[in-house]
Amino acid sequence: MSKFGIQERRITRRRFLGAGAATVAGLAVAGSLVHRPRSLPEARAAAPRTPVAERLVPSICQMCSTHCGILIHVAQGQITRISGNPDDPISRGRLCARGQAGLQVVTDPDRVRQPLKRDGSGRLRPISWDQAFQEIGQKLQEIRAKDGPQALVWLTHPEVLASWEQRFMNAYGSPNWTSHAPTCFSSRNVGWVATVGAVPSGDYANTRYYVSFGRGINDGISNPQVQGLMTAHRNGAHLVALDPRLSDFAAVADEWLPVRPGTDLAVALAMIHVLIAEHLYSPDAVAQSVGFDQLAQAVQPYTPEWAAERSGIDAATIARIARGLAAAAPAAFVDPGWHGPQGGMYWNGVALTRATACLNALLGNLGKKGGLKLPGPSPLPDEKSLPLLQPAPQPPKLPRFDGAGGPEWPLAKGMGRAHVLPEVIESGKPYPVRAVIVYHTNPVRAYPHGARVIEAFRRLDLVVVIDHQMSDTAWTTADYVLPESTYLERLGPVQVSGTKLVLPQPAIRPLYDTLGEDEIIRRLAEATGLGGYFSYTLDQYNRAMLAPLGLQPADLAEREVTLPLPPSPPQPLALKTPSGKIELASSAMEKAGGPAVPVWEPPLVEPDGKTNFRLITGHVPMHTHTSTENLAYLHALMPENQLWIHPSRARALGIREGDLVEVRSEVGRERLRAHVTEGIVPEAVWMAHGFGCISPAQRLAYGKGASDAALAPIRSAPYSGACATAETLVTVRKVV
Amino acid sequence: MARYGMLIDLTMCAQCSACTVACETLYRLPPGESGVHLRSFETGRFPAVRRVTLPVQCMQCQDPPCVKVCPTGATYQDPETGTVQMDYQRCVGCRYCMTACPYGARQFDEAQGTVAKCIFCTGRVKQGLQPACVETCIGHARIFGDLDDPGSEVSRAIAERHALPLRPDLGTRPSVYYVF
Repeated sequence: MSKFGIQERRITRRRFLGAGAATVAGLAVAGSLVHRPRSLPEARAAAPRTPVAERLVPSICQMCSTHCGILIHVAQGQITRISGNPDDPISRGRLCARGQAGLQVVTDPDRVRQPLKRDGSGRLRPISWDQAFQEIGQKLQEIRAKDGPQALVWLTHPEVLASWEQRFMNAYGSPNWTSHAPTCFSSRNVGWVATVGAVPSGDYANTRYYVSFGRGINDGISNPQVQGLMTAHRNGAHLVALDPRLSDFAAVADEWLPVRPGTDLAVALAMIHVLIAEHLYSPDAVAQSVGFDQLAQAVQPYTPEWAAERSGIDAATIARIARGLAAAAPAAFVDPGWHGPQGGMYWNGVALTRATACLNALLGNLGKKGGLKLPGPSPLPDEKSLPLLQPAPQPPKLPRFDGAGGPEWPLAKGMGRAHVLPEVIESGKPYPVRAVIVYHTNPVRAYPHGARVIEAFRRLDLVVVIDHQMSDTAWTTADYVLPESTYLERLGPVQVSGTKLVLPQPAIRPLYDTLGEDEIIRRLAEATGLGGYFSYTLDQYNRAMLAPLGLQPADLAEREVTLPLPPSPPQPLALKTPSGKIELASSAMEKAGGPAVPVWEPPLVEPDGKTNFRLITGHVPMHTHTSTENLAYLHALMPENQLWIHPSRARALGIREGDLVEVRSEVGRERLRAHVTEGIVPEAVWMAHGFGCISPAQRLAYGKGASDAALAPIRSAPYSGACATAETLVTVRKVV
Repeated sequence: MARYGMLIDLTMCAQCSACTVACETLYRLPPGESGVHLRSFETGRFPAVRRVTLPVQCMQCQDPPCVKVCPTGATYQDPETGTVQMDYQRCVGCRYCMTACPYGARQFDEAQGTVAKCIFCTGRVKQGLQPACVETCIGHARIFGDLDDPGSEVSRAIAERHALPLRPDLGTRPSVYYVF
């Protein structure tokens, strides 16, 4: 951790100074002889700013998917700073480290500055945009003629201009547009949609009792949620972290419960058991639900004692937390989760989400202050209704390459199963995939088994990477790299932010020969013979989206980017489930071949506690996926990840703090430094996701730390089809 | 006279480093040379472990040892605000102040050949703005204001939350208070 790094560096510096007082005195004398005027950063900034010199451009942060409202400070054509927009309901004038460091996305010296094509010798060489579009368009037409439109897959993350990408794919005729959901939140979405028809969010600021099953809200930061939860903490809310690791959230929570990884489900089931056995549930909520009796019967065997045996959390604690939640209800909730145990990492992720969803439902917190809230309707029109976008290409009726939404994976639906792409490419089943367009995401380090991703992609006829940096995927597999303008240099689609409308707009002109994704898609479509579907610009699109509201982009672009919208209607009680009620017993789950009510499902793998470990991973507050380690400010905060290992296990392996260790799984091995800490369960090792860059073009990030993606085999968890990356066993040895 | 002070409530600190980067981007400092650093300490044995993360910066002491040792007067106390300031024209880079500071809150700026530190964003404060770290703190953990005014938000919060400075025994009388 950088935190320790900083500490070490300070100590070293002080030691040096303490040892050489004479040297220091010498320096003083020498220094006084060279009395040169210096540039004074503090004095400069402290001087009153002339309002003329600095322009504030309101826009949207795109350093993560929270999309906080920002003010981009521009002076003399350069971005000097990014701060939170005080008028924005998401950021409320505050920004995390990543959001502020966003200005280095523009100035990163390692940016891709022009379109590149891989030549016969394997090197990426500059070409013109015209040549790139012409060649890619021709290739795409050939592939469609020979192997059918389904041979093209589009992988994306973040999903900012997703509707344009999907439109392109529909026009081409391929059903294979896929987001990063299975590597992140698929299981959570499947479990919540089955229970209440949507994924809720928490009313963090007003809650009085908060329990997280493995979500580190301070680790994978969501700015508005952290603001809310920390304020609630000050106001007396009780925070409980159930996590195998002393995460940044666990460190500030009132209680850390070091659960054995993969057994959160046992704890959740036991809490339901307690609520029902002690009649602590909300009768109103039960009246608005189906399947209560079935659930009550199912959880009968799951006593706190039963759960304690599996989870390592003692029975009294489990019962106490359940009672604590009930006492504070409805201003209490179990976090709906994101990644982690309720997301995509574990085999029983859907079962856990179902259990925590039922637990929340029993608290009667849905739609209540301090509880959970369901997303309201968007005030923006459905783009399918816009005359500008007619004729709209129809979504093709072909089966997807990954089976999502098909008979085997009915609940995965549009979330896709991107991580199985290497298997599909290798086997040609269900059909051959010949080409892939990668927007921003970095499958080599974002999907499991990176080495297999590289091998598979290299077998394709065409790999196009659209990005502003030379990702591992671009470096190792791309035939063409199309450089995108950064979010600070390009227009974006108009968006809803909380109760306001916002326009992601450029603050400066693109520094290099780059294009916005909208323009890339338009010209790609043109070159592929699909230009008729993209006969409008992003500005025209934004105008069309705003017109039904009586607004224009200029209304959002001037002083402030936000405009008040009519308040959304109160929480509808008609839920988007088959029954229209809370489904404690889920018909959708049953239809998909699963249990209607949550029942115990063990994790897929079990470490033996002696020779191997479960590998668990997670996010850190200063980095987003694999996209920020090359930005100097964030790199300085955390240049590499470390392997967290418990002292008892480290001792047995002869590993000390800072030692170089090798972590080996069935599919790969990686090297990184050890962090020996009491803050992790002995049976697991942890590393932050996103490190181990293998693209030498990213000079700061290259070779730093280890990639967790290189170690996880390709697996698909039941029902959601998510890649269960935490079901990975590893051995650890000291590198001598 | 005002006496600027700050409260950092660790029960609200998200440990996200937003403060560190806010300082760096505002003053265009080299990466890693922010006026605010987070330091972590782990105590206890599994499972009763605690990790405290402390944002550390210039404590703006009322009795600052760095001022006493500075041979050129580059480090001085501003009578108007009670803050410890730097006159970079006078700083010769001798680093006495770094050795004198018991909080390790000063850093040597290799590029400038001077010692840098947090100056409580006094330039911003005089314009009616908050220090950058306070403005951006996503945990709302930081409160800034006048310690001499018992009615100020910071004074009231220090009293209500029983905040304490780090190492009061050193006698430096810091103006940064923490809630643990």
